[in-house]
Amino acid sequence: MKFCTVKQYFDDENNNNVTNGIATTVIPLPNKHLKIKANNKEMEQYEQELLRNVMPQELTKLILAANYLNFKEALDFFCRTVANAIQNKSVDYVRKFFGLESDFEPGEEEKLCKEFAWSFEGVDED
Amino acid sequence: MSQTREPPTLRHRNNHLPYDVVLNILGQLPVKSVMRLRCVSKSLYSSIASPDFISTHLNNINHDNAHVIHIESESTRVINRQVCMVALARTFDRISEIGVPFDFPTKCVQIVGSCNGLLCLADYPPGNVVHLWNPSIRRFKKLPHTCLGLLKHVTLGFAYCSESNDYKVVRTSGSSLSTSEIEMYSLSSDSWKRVEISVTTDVIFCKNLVSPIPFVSGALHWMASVKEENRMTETDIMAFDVNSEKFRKLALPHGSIDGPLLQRCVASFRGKLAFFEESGFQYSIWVMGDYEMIKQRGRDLSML
Repeated sequence: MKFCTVKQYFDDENNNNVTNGIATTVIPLPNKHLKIKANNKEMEQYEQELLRNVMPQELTKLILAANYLNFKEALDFFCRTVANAIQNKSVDYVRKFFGLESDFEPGEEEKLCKEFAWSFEGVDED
Repeated sequence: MSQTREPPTLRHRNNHLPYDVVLNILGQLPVKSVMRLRCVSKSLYSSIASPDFISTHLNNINHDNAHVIHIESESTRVINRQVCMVALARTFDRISEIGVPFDFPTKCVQIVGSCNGLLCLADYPPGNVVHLWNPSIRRFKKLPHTCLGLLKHVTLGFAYCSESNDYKVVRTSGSSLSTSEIEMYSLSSDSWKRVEISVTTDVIFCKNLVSPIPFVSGALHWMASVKEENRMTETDIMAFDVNSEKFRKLALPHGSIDGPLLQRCVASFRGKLAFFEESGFQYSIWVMGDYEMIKQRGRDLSML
């Protein structure tokens, strides 16, 4: 049984965590997985198609849904897609994206950036 | 009395992902991005540095990309810096050159071994100067001086110790005519310490032709000339278990020929221990079937 929370989702009428739109994307995934189980490439293409026009911000909704539904394969896949989308983004972009705040002392962050200056090469402009 | 219920909506209280999901995403990023994003915050910095994150990230690396390393054993370059050649796939159609960021006293360099993306290099032939190098994060470290006396006829082995999540380098030195001295370096203690085999056993470790000392099933394996008390000298395989830090003797395969003019070496073959022998026009390869059986029987293995 791929995810146990689905039953709970349908039973829980006051559920605000997953909209119908998201559910229609996430829930058919296991069946599709089963149908083309042996062929990884086909699955990859299906998944690429699914997420072709989805922006990173939209993906957060899908991730929250997969997380809530306890659907590990979908969660890993969505996380991988986000990772591919943000891999060349700047530190500031990623901070805002995840809603994290810098808690470095003044000068500490600069020191770190200098130490790993090579990792800042080729970063996208914000 | 029933209340009118509103249709369910996605409540974006903060629209932010749980922290463990953030780490899941970061764990799928290439190394360069991960290193840069350590500057996001202190808590992210320490999460990324944690052993759990590091091993998850290591497991996420695509294992289809086999990295084969080649390094020129003798530098003919004008600039006195070595270059390491890396093949990024088993098809060898993408090859990169990575400059070695440190120097050796001699122009010759040997690859002692590689584990989890960490390389161990040493000067060749002395084997006195050893460096550990992680090309992905561009960090390297020179090991401290030996704790043995004068080093002679050195062999080196590099291993990963899974039980303690530590990296170890083992060096043998044949300064004495009758027996080799052994020392072991561990990255966690950043120091060398002597290793004894047994008071009643003399072991001379052999160089493994031009191949690295193989690391198989948690142990480093050498060809060695072994003399136990009240027994004749014989050629065996000495296996050093890096977790228990103990040596074990393995017999050579049945059918191997004992003779001084043979070319022989041990190697790692598809994760198993292999033994190569060349005698005149015949080349033989043995691959050990079941490593556990050796511990019980004290002998081995099937002929390929």
